[in-house]
Amino acid sequence: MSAVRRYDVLDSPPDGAFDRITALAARLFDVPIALVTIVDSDRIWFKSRHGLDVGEIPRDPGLCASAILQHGPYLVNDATTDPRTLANPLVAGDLGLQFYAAVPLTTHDGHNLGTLCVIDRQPRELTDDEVTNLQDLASVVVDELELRLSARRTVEVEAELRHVAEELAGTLQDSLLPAQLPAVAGLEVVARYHVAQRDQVGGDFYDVFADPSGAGCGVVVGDVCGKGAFAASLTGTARWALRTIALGDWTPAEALARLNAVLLEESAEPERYCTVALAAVRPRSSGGAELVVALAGYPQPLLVDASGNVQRLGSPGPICGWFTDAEYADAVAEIPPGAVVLLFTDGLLEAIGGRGCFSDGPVQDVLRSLAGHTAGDVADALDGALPTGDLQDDAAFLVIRADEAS
Amino acid sequence: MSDINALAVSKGISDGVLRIVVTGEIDAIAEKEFVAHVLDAIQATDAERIVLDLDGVTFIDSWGLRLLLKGRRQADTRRVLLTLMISPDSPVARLLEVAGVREMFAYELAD
Repeated sequence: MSAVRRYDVLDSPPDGAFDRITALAARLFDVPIALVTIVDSDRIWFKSRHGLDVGEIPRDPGLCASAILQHGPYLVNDATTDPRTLANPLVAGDLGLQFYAAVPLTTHDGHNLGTLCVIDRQPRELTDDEVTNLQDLASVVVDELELRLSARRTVEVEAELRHVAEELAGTLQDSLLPAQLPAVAGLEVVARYHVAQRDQVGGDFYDVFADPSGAGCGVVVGDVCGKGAFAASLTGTARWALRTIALGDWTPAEALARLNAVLLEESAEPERYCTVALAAVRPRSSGGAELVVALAGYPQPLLVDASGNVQRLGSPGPICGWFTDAEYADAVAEIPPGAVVLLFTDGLLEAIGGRGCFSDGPVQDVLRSLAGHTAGDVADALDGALPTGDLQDDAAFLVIRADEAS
Repeated sequence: MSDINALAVSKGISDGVLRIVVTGEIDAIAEKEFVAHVLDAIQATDAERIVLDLDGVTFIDSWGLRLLLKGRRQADTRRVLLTLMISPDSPVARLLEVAGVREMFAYELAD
């Protein structure tokens, strides 16, 4: 019975493959009725029936229940005289069954699930060749059942693997991003991250850490080329290298130059790189903040003041981890009170501006419309501007707002 | 059905210059093609100079940039001069600009 459950075939919808086999059997043996039956604990269910209107019968009078108890074919040439069947209601009743030949459907691990049987209302005899034909047809039925079982297993295994991959990617992703951003007096900092494929670790990352000097914080938004495990290891290296470098005296440009050296030295796979925007933000007690930023192959961050003027920050520098002679430059900017700075990966440009978009125009439009709002509002508006459905690429961004004088 | 976005590569050599014309999209999906037809050609060539014509490239991402950088590195190692042919507003030019690597390549103007 457990084998019948395993194949999960009971009460399954009609299936053309089995219907073709019963039709073929009826034609081949010149009988009115041919069935593929599955024997349940209390009934005999017809997976396919040719020439019969009932879908199932109780197990008790069923000849198939007897047929599956043996290994070879079960043949009743004249049921009205056969002592095994003469009192059977199917024989004595309306159906008027006289000839019955069945071959058990034996699975590869030896379980009989049911039968392939042919039925006639007059006595018949099968030749040895015909019995062999019936056995061969029964094997075809079993093969079809096995095929369905393995196809269903494949689908189940695939779903399970995908689930595991998503869980693993999610866990790894969480380890590559700060659990929560530190509170920095005088600033509001909000980060958002959208992964394009849930079963892969994204290639974008961000980090915010309090400056060890006690004033302000360091902020990082980056993108490593590629995705998955390949990207994850580089992301981890980059993020923690920057945190370590920032423990001492640092400026963003110096830190990127050191990160470049670390990646060139550490990387087991030399042919990869990352793009990073690194900024040191120091709030002023009078409101507003000073921002120093350096860029490595990274789109220029945008600053929007309370009246809606947008300005690009920083000077473009080369990607990190590829060139031994890469040089980076610090750019200093003043964030007026109430102004907002947006650092973002190129995935955001594409998500908002369309595939292949390198222009920050559409993002600028969103910022301009949100002038004077909180960092949270700006982040929500950018989220809202993303297309619904899956993104082409990961998109990460960080919004920093300098408080007004307190 | 052929994919109009697929990477396509054609090559020709004259007067010691290997000219490789790439069209379509350069991303992770196109990596195999790019390696087989561009990087391997750079590795194998006897030419003194290689012109990589990328003016017909319609899309390139960070993975594609990595492939271009590999090409430059291979050309350097083999001491072959590699120049890119792109128009200033092409997707490749914009990515090189954003990535801060524009001056890492030599150029010739697209026809």
